[in-house]
Amino acid sequence: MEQDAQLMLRVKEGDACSFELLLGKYRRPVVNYLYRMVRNQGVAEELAQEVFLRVYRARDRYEPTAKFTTWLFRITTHLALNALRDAKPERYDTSLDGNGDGRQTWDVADGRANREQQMVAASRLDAVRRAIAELPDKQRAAVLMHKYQELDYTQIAGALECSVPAVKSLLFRAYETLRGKLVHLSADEGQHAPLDRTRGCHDS
Amino acid sequence: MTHDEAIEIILQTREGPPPGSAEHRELMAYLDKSPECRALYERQQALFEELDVWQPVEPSAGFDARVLAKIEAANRPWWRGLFTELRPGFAVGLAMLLLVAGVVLRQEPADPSEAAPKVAVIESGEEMQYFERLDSALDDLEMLVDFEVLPLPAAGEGRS
Repeated sequence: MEQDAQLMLRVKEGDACSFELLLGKYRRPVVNYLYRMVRNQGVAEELAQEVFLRVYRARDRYEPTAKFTTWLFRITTHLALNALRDAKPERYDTSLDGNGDGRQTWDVADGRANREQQMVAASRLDAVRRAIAELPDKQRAAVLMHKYQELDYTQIAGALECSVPAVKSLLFRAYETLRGKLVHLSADEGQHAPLDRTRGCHDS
Repeated sequence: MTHDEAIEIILQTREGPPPGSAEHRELMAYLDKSPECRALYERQQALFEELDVWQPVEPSAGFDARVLAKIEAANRPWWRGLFTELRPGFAVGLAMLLLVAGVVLRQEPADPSEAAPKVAVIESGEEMQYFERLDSALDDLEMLVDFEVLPLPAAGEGRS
């Protein structure tokens, strides 16, 4: 049995230290996943607190049938999607300026070259965030879990409560959209047409 | 390796299969034969690199403490909240309740029968006639006093 599942079973038996270990291990991934979903660190932290509270409350019902991360990200994704559905638009950072909290860091004391590099980097970051933000909610969740949390297809399917082929389809479409939107950032801009998945290249 | 298998590997593995692995060799051999898939592989690798510019944030200080405080609050019995989070409101509410209860209890007698007006019940016709005659006699007396036929009663003297 994986270590996290063992810790969760100890939490189920009333061991508070095991819960604190899980909290310490997953605090950052959960906050960052939620931050990239809702694009506001304050809201992300509020939701993350609720995630851990729900994990604690559900300890009696926990059964290690799947990986702990799958269960954790199912709760997290459920809360994130509900929050996005219920939220007033102004509560979230739709402008995508700065880091999502209205803060933007510019080191103007540096030389012109550095400032230009920073502006280019900020522009790339803004483009990436916009492209991800514009994905449909489930595609965004799938990409964030796959790319940034490094969950595999089975875990993502468990978190999104859908089949593995459905996850593959979500990711295929999401990455195709992202490649289309972020192609200008690549050096080989404009050289590639969208790929038809149904057409074989060399089915050797 | 088929086209779909290649695409799945290209999209599934963020850094591609480990260099030197059988899967990596198979993929590279396939990509040599398929320029379109190689182009996809390169674009996908470039995309993964682009996505890396969105760096993670650090949770704010005291995050764990806030989570643990929420858990502790959730574990408390509901009525304890009346004496902690809602303490000022609860105290004011309780004082108002006691005040209202005091006023209401002061106005309402404990035994409703005590509050009822005392009315003499005249049950027989004979008694009724007696009281009518008495009332008439008193009216006559009053009239005689008004017309000064009878002297005014001295101070302290009653009608009876």
